[in-house]
Amino acid sequence: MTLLQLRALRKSFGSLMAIDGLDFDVEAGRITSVIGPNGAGKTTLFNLISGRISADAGTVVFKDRAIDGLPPDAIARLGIARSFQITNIFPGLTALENVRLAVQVRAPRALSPWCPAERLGGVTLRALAVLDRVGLGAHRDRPARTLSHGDQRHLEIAMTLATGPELLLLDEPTAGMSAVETATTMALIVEIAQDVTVLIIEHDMELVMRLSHHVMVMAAGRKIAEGPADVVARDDEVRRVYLGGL
Amino acid sequence: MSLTRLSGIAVVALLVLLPLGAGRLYSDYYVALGIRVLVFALFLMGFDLLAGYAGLISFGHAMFFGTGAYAAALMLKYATTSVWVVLAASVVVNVVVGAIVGYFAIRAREIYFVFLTFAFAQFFYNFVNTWEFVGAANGLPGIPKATLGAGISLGDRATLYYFTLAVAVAGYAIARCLVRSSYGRVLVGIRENEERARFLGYDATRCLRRAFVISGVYAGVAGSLLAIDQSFVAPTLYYWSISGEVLLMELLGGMGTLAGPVAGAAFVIVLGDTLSSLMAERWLLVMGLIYAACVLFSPTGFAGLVRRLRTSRDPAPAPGAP
Repeated sequence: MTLLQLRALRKSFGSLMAIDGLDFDVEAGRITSVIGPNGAGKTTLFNLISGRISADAGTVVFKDRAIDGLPPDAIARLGIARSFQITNIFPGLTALENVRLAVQVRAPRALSPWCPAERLGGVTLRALAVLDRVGLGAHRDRPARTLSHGDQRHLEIAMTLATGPELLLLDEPTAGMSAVETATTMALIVEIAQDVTVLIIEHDMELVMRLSHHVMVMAAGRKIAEGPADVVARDDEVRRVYLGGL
Repeated sequence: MSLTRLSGIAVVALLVLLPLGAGRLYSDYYVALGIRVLVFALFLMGFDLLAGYAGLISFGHAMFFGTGAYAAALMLKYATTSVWVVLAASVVVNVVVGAIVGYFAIRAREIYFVFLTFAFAQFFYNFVNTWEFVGAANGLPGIPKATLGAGISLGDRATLYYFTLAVAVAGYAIARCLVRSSYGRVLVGIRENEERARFLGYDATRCLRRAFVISGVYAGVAGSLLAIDQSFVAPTLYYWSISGEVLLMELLGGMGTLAGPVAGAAFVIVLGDTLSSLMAERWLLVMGLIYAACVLFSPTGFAGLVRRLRTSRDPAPAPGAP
């Protein structure tokens, strides 16, 4: 089943064509990776899907519904959650409160001015469960800004996961991580992908090859190849523009 | 019972006792001063909801204060003396003002939001300052006394004082409830990282507009109570110096703590009153020095100072505990 469908998507910044007529489908239940050299338009693609910016032309269809032009919060509520290339969390709040706010968005009285936050049925419990799942249970009461870089990135993944998405967009989830942290993150993504469709931008080729069911290669705002990881890795044009001597 | 709650009860108990000594231990004047403190305490609760919790610094809250005062004055003069109807009208008018101004102002953030709210408030000031029906620059004198119902007049200072105290305590309880609610937590999230809140699925603009309206209603009701007390309203209630003064109270008290800004309001009003009676023209100068010292020695305000004192006594506080 096609979960997300991009058609003739176009976005330019001044004279720079960041996305140049992109057609692309994300199939449900898989890990799909987007790779490409710097400036290929990968993060712009994420920004277009998640509503951070709007496209000049083309359509974004999520579960048979056009979502282009919707604000980010509406897109998030429809079931697309994203992480950012630069960690984007609530730095002054505790790890638990970060995740609790993410769970709360789906609660029936999420914006009630009277209902004490603690009394929203099951929200705190679910937040704790998600924190445990990413291995941050022990740090629940620490302000997020005091966590290590790797833990902050895991916290952000936990937050996106806690909103209960159907499609998870991860923008370089292992950026700046140590080898050990990267391995943990990888295991986490594989586990998450068992019940959530994952679209991921990643530079670590080893990780991409081992993780992805499907790979899309971008260069200069265009799709130059897509297919199973091993097929893409053998593609001549891909090797020329991106993989170099791999 | 926690220390915080105990001290809160003690403060309210002292405030309840204040009118009893008037005329015996000290003059009636202190009851009037008490009303002024309570009015600004109420104002600051609302201001802190917006500035301290939601992270939006308004420099135009005088527009609500003035609107509340004028709404009360006009209601008392032309419609009814029932304080309930007067306050209800004030709430309605300020919800409308807050919704309209908020619709435009909440598009901006930080210094641009500060400037927009200031500009809107100046518009209100200039409008009222030239509106003949409400006396233009001369203001509107001779506002009838409000009544509580059952034949009780609020013309009596002590009665009005108790009424204002009751409104302030209720206002505080509502504000506490708000900041503990799921909505209150979302506001703090937006203050911490608005983009993150949006990408989690929160309509930050709508949340902030609501906060702006709620905050404006607090300032408006405060203005109404002041008008009821003074029997006179003037365009100076809309002047930017009021917006500046509440910002000062907020900073002195400690943003995002509710109790802090309330203490800040009491401090500024009582200190201003004391100094201006002690010395003629130099009191503003001395006050400025005291403010500067406060901000230098406790940048997080009175609330931050209390927190520090408590932490130094008890070396192992729970991390992140309020």
